[in-house]
Amino acid sequence: MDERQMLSQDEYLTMQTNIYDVEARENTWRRYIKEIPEDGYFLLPSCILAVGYPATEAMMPRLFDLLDLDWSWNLKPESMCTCCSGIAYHGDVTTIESTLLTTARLWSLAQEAGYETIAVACITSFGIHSECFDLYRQEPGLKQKMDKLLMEACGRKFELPRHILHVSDVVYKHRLRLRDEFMIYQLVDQDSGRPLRGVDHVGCHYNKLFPLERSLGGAEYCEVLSGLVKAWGGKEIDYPERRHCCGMGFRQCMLTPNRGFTAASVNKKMVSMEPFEPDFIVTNCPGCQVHLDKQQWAIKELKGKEYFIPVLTYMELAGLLMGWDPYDIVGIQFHTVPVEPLLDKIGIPYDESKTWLGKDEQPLPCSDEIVGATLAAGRTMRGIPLL
Amino acid sequence: MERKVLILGGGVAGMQTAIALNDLGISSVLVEKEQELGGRVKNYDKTFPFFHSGKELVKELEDRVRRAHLVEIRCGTTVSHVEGQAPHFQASLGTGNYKIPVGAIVVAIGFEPFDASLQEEYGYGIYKNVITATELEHLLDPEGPTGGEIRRPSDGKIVQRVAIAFCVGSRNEQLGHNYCSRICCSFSTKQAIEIKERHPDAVVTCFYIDIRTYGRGFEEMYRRAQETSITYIRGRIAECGVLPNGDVTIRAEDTFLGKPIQGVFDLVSLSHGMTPALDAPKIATMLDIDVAEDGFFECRDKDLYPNDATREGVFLAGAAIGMKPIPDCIADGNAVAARVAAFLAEMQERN
Amino acid sequence: MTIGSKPDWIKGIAKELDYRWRYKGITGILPDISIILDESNAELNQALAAEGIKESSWVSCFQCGTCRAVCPYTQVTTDVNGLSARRMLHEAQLGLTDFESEEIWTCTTCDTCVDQCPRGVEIIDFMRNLRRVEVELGVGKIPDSLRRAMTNIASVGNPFGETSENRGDWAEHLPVKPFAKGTELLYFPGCFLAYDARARKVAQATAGILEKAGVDFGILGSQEVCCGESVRKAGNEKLFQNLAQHNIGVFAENGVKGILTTSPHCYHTFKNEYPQFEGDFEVIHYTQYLARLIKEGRLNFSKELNKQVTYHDPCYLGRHNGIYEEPREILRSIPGLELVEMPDARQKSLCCGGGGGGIWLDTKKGERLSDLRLEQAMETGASILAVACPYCLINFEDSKLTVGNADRIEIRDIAELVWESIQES
Repeated sequence: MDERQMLSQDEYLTMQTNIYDVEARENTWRRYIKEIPEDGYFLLPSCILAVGYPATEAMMPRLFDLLDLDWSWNLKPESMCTCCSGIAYHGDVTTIESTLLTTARLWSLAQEAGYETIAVACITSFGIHSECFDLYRQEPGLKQKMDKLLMEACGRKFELPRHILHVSDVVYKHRLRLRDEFMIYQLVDQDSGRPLRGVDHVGCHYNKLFPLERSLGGAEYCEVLSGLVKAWGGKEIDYPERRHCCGMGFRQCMLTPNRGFTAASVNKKMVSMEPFEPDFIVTNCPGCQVHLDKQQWAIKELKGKEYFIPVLTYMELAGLLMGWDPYDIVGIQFHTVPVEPLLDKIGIPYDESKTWLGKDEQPLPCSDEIVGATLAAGRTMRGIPLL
Repeated sequence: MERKVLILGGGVAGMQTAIALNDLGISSVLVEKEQELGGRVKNYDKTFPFFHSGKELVKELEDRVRRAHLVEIRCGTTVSHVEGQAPHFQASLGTGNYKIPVGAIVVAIGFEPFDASLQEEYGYGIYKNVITATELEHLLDPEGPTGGEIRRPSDGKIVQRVAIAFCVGSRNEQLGHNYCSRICCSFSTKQAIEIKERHPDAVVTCFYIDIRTYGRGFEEMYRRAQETSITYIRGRIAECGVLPNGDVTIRAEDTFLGKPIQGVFDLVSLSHGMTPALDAPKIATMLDIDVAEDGFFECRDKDLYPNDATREGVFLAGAAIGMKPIPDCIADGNAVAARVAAFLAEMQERN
Repeated sequence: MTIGSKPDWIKGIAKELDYRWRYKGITGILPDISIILDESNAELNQALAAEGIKESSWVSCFQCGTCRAVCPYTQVTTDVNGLSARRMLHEAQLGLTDFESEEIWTCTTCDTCVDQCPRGVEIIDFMRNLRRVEVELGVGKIPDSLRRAMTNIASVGNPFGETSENRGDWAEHLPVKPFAKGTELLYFPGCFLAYDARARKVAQATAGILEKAGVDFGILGSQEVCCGESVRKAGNEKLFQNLAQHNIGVFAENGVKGILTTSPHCYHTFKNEYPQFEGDFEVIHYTQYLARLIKEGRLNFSKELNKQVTYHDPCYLGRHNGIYEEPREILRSIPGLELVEMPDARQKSLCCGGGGGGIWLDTKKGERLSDLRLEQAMETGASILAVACPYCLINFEDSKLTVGNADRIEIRDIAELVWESIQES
């Protein structure tokens, strides 16, 4: 039995009270309280999340229905929810008017359905919506101009939304309700009873663009994800590179010559968080999720150092703790870094034979060669040895 | 007409005003909200740049003030209300029962150190090994909590590596304090020298934007600091983080070499700037005088009447009009006394 | 480009946005370029704080940048990372000195920065100590040509590797006697004048002048060794001390009281550094001596030279030792010579690049200070560039070969000009 696990909850490695003042930390984030309405959300899904971690997005309607919230979204073919044009905007291949137009149209969709609050699934989208909203405040004549353009483009009218939320804000708002009414597991090590240590990695565009207006907790001590970890039984970790960007920035990760920067940023974070021995990382941005997850593999290949700290989105974390099936519903088979060790710690049972299956228990499309080679080496795709 | 002067604030400037007025034969009431006189300087073990004792300086002033027979000292109370026009003011102390007629009022309420927890990137308040200059002053005090040894708060270890961050809270647009607090470069340098004297093996590094050791004897103190092997790196500390054993990591840029720099220190001291006193707005309203954009009191004319407030009969002294070193506060006290005396004489003539 | 086909630049972008295998192209994790502050460099710091210099002088640098601004090296290079005393002082304080870098050997110790430094930092001693670390602790790399010169000096007492017995050979067939007890003045020509073909003419001229003026002087020839000034500046303290002790011993043995030198470097070290080793002699530079002789009327100028001459103040005569006027007095006394001043004259004289061991280094074309100075001399319209130092002489003669249109200017030592004028035709 590891000796350190015998220490009391407050005295373990992180958040030692002689080094940290937990109360001061709680007071600091309360300077940035964001108003989050109870319900009435219009969900705007994302592009990257749906591709990389589809189960996360599929869980959002499921969660909202479970909580019996008043929400809606619009996926009908004739007025499809579009991408917010974030990739184009950050990749510098479009004009600002196009971005403004796209967001105006999305807002118009929300208002048409009768909602004044939009809940965005992707942090880049969140950033785009916040920036566009801010532009209207900065330039007085812009609203009239965009009204005209939107009417010309697709015959719609729009208003500025009252609240721009991210879905992690929604989950934060309802975290206690989820914990009390629906969660059957806690973020606690089932053997020793110690709370699991979670690193919260909040997407840069959530809290660094407009810390006062749009973030819960501000730029330095953001609360939206660490609040979830704390409410659900875990312990947050504060480490020197906590606020460091994951390095996914379209100009870095999309261009081959620049990808070393992304890998280096993730590496820097991993090196910094390692002494604190985190059990998992929770993110709310799809870009961060993708890169924190997959660059750990790249680091292993390039440097030989295996960090392999599981990276989960906030939805996956919620889903797992509520006892939803890890493969069918939460979709952990899409992760590069194996999540199964974390499930073992929490005590969530899982059926390993499902690692190769996708939606409706259909096999995942994967080349036979890779499957054969991996099975021949006696391992599953994520390195778990086959018994 | 009452030839009595009300002095708000019993710090260095306030006390010197009372003494100077006493020397001119004018009586005064010195009102101090704390139980003891001396303001901030009574807690300083050493002052810059000559390393004289702040406590003894205050003791000396207090002696003189108490011996001055024309000064009435009122500690532990505040002025709650002022009525009338100069030179016939009616000031109410405390709960309002004690009323004094005064001919002129001097505001010497001092300053408030900047609350460093507002600069969240340093983690002050959250990381216990990140302290402010005021706390460092206590640690340096031989009569203080650690007997003059610099021990870091988390585990009492004697420090080997100290970083001092300059310009915390001053010259900062984001925080709304665009002014320079003038004396922080100097007192930080003084503290660095003191740390090196207590612990000659320690490595002390100062991270600054500019070194504004502007006064007489300050540049020589800076040179002395350099000669004691204190490293000065031009580049503001951007953020602090903490390692599991309590060490503080910092990031900065060394602009001399043009490269980012990271360091691990046992203790980081934030040289906070000075903000206006917390009750400055309240007193401004009470006395109907103006407060300038930076929060300190406004003068009647910035060039020619630096000690006059914007209302007749009200005068200003000390750090309340902007941060300054101790000799300047003493000079302010003398200057204000002269102004008050001239004012009262003028009023006398008019009657 | 035909209508409808994709322009090339789009194809380029599509190639970049290669999504088929997302992580193709990561060839490595980019390194962190930050400086890490730790105590591992303290030892080097202590090695730098060598005796003789109070470390306090170096640490009081407040990074004003004056040294870099006035450094002559900045006039011959556009390298932003080149020689910068300010930066090197800061790096040394943090223990980050790059001992592999060339810039440690670039400094010619010309004293311009020390002259101007508002904090009085002893920059030359700092550079010397950096070089000491390299020489004594074996870190970094000493330039080969410098190493050869030092080895030669150590073995045969001169940097050329010539036998020490020939050290007095330049005086053959000249009325020069060996120094003996009782001789009034020791003439110390120095290594270049003793061995180098061009510089020998200066020695011969000087000897001729002294003889004509009836001065009682002698030479020590093969008994003496190099004065060691350049090796000390190049960081080889031990070798310098050996040379100094040898010379002082020889001088004392022979009852030397007064030393006349041609090279300002020899002058500098005999006057300012030998007393440390109990070598107290009266040292005089030949320009001071000649000026005195002229004042006393002991020199008879018979020939008119009828040329325009410009004078280059050597660093070690001018800035280091404050001798500016005597050479000019001499030149003005020579009949027919018109003295014109160069733009950077006296304290602002531009170093020729020979000091600090620079004379032994191979400086790249385009970075040679003497080229620049020669061009300045030519711009004055003078036909003679007068020098008073063998390093300047050799450097300018070298530059003459490579700088364009340099045929119209001649490099002459002051002694040569005086000799030319007092010689009977």
